[in-house]
Amino acid sequence: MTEVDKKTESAKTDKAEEGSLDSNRAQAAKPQDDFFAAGHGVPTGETQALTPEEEKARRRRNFALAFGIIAFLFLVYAISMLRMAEAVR
Amino acid sequence: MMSDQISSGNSSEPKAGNSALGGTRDYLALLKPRVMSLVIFTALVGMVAAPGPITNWPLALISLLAIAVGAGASGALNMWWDADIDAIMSRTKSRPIPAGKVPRAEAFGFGLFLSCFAVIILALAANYLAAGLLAFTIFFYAVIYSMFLKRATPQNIVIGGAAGALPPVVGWAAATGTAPLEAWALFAIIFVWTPPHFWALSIYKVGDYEAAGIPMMPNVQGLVSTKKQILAYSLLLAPIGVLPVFFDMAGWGYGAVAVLMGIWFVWRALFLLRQPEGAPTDKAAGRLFGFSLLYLSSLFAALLMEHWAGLHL
Repeated sequence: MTEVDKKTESAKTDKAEEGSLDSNRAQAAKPQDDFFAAGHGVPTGETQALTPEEEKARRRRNFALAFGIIAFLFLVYAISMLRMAEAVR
Repeated sequence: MMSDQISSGNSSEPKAGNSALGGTRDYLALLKPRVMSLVIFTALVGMVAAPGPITNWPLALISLLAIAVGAGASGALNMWWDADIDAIMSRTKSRPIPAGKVPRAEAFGFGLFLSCFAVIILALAANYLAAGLLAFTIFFYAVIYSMFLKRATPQNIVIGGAAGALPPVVGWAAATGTAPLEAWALFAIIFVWTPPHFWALSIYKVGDYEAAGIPMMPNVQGLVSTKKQILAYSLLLAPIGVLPVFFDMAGWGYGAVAVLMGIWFVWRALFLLRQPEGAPTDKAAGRLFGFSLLYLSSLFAALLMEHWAGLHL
């Protein structure tokens, strides 16, 4: 094999590897199932501003989440108190 | 007949939702409130029918809340998994995920969070047996039924019916810390009631199930076979409905309701069998579906009233 042939062969291999990488990236970026896609996220640097309606909805949901956590804490506290009262009786 | 193409997973995506738009109502809808109300009712009957009085009502009510939340959580997980077929069926396409109001990932997180919440609260408020049974119920409905049975076999709701039948056992276990044979008699009533209830629905919604590729009995084995099986289960249900009387947890008031409603159920199933295909069958199936709800409510209400009236210890 001549030097030129070797270089051509090496360039071909590089191109093939590059192609494989591109294909992997494309695979990773391919929109998949909503849930599992999170693991394949490829940063694009793009951001999306929420509309005022969406911001309101997000605030409502945050309050709901806070309520859920407070309800959980309250229930654990109430159950503990009720059980202790039962034991005292 | 059943189309060859049975969806093997969540291949066709429903409309992509905007994560910020889901309101409180949409998240409540994920919990299947109507199913929840039936679960609360049957679990309450399980609690009340258990021997001995309920000494701590606040804890019993918290336990009931946990059972209800657990049932809702399994509903959310079911909607997460079934979003693709829900988008196809007329009965389910307005659910929050296919309608684009709640993203699938959020429904999954919501269901998982509530499942843990419900099981932990029930373990604290009642006991580990009740909590374990609730965890099993959620697992059975969300994983065994939704992920494996529903798209694989026309016996899906026969086996999957176990999940819906467990709440009275969970309620009984929450009240007593045990799950004896009497509790399983209540389980048996709901378990045997489930196939005729759902097959009646699937008869007049056969097109929906066919389009979604779900192998329900009418689109796999045909209408006549389904009607015969509905009758067979009705004949089995009528005597099982009377079982609580023989376990000494119900009196003859309940017994009379169970016998009369059982006979009526069998008559309705016979009537359905005799109808020609088309609109008469659909109408009779619709009536049987409605009656099946009345049947279960009546039996459990009769049991509840007998216990509240102090007829049983």
